[in-house]
Amino acid sequence: MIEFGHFSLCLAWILALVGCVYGAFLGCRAGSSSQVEFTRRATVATSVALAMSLVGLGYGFVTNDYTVQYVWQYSNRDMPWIYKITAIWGGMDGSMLLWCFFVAMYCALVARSSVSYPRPLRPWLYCFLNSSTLFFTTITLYLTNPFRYVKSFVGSDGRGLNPLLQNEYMAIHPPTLYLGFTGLAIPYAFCMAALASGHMSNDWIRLTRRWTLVAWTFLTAGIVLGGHWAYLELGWGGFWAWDPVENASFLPWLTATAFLHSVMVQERKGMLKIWNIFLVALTYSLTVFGTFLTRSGIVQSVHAFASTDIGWVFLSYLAAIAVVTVGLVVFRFSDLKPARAIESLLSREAVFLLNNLVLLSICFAVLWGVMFPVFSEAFTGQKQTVGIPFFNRVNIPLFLALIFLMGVGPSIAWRRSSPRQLARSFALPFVGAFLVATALVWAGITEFYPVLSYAICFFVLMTILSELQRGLRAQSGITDASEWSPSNIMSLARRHRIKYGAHIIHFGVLIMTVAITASMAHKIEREFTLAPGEKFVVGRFALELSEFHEEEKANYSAIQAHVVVRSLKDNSILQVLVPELRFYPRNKETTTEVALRMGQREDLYLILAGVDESGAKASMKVFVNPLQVWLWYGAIIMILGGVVVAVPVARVTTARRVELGGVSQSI
Amino acid sequence: MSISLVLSMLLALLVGAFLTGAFFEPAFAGDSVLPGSDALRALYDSKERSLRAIKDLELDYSMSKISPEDFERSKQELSLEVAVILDEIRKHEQR
Repeated sequence: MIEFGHFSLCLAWILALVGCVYGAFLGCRAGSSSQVEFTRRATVATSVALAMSLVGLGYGFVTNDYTVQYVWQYSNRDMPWIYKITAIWGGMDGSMLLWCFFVAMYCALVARSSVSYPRPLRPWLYCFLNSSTLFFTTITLYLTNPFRYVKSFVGSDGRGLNPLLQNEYMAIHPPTLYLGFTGLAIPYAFCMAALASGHMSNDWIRLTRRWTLVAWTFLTAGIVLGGHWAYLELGWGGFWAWDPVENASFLPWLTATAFLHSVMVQERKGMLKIWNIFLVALTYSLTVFGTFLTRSGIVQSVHAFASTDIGWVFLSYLAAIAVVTVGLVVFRFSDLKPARAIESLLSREAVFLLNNLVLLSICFAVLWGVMFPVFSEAFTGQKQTVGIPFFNRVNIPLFLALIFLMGVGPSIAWRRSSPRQLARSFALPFVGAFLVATALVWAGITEFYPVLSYAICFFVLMTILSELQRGLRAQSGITDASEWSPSNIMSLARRHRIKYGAHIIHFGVLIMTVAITASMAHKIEREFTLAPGEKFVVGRFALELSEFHEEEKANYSAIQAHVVVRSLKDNSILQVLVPELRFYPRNKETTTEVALRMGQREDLYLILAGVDESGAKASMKVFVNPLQVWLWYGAIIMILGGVVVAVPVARVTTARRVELGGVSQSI
Repeated sequence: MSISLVLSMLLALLVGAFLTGAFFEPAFAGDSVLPGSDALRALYDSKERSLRAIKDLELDYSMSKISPEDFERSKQELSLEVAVILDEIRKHEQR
């Protein structure tokens, strides 16, 4: 089966090469419809071949085929079967293969629905779709091939997966994140195909927006799942450490978010055409850059794969993306002139532009923080790192500005708005935010940023509710139903699905912001040592160590502490927490298993740091993280909002669509 | 013959048949339709944008985001814009 997997990978590479080269050829010289169909089919077949390649590798893992170096390196016989499957993407070679499959799968989905796309666009679309698959397949086949055999000695058992990766989140976090990253190749392909073919109508924008939303939703889910994994598995009490690889996933998210906003301006006003091309190309480049960061070893990270020498390949590809993008923009410059200009600074398009600038400022700040150690080493010979304080200091004000704009943007009219109208729209939210800030200060919260953050969140919440109320009032004027009746709400949601889907996303962001602010500003962190029977008080809890003992499991040994959590209020037992210290003899690694009491009000997060030399006392670390669970709720709301906006709904089309051969020329 | 070899041959055959099928497919409806000139397509895009702007304007007005004066002024401007575009489209289509 390993040979079959390898053969399928080779076949996929050939198909991607054919799709790319033949697509470009047909784009330059009008080919027959059969030839275009052939290229489309090659695009679809690539994904099938890569799926077979993954099956081949998976079979190697499940059957413990330790003649294959990658299988030997990342699995062993003791591992549960689920981790044998997740081990496919546990190392660099297999993760690249999974990446290739996802890129090809997206390309196949686009190709499948592309028959009705404008004819001039299609060959170039297949060319650019396949170019992404070709690049990643080339790396997988020639540089990180997971089907290589062990050269000398074949062991009876493998080395096993990194214990940190033996976690159920590893089954879902990397694939979700990769689905986000790889999906961003699609907007880039559409954009370049539009430029290359000269088919610069709104078609590519409309098609691109949906695919960007799909990728953005997966990327959001992937980032949050990564945060949740870090929270549960890494044992430092937090979910986001501004780690270079975390940042690598966040960078394209920022630019994709900027694009999702600015694309609305292009769709409606015919403005920001070059800006949007820049954002699409930058977003795709940042996904490639993220892959480069993780796999080149230039930065130190808990997530990074082993250091390799394939960095130059990614850098060359990034250079190629830049050259192709700039070349095509220069070539089509005359078609990229804006249809009109921003009429007033008090307009939604101006706010969206401001939102884009803030998002790109955050992106630049994060990128600077990631690359600073590399630059400092290159220029001074000494590697200087920037830590969490740098990222927080720079990004907190920018994020708060972004949240504020999130409240202003949807409540302001397109084209122009008068100061009087704005005062009417925002007076109540401003007063509400001011009252919230005053109440918080009065309650004893005096730090500037937390108070500002809660006040801004309240301001945005008021604007969202006011938007909903005004929408319902306008809708009830059409349907004659009462404003808050379910039928009126449903009717409004159906008519303006994208608008209110975006409000759901914004509402999720608000919940997350409140949770992040609370968990950062009011976190309690303590270290203590207890003998059995002793107590430690933290927050509104009393922790009593009842016992600790050793456990032997199939592939690790553990020390478990049993800690009884009591309420300080009435001394009742709330829960027994069992933090663990695990030792994996095969990997010679020690890990901590966090014990967590998750609550709506706060999380109690307990880590067993060690046992003292006498063996009579256990050292522990405890965190009380207020409102932490609301971060995950907010993320779920955001993802639901993304699904609402991204899922296509059947629309009535007009005869014009057929006449123009376009995607949809009707509104 | 190993299972890998059999599966590889089978996959190659299926892919080959799938690709060759492209040359036996009838031409797609979308392909047989005239795509329209670039200028005409640009005009339709402008028309679409202007109609959408009117729709947005009416929505903003119904939600009290703009004053009646601004609404009237903007609607007149946009309506005039649509009329000019429709005229241009008609001229193009008559050619």
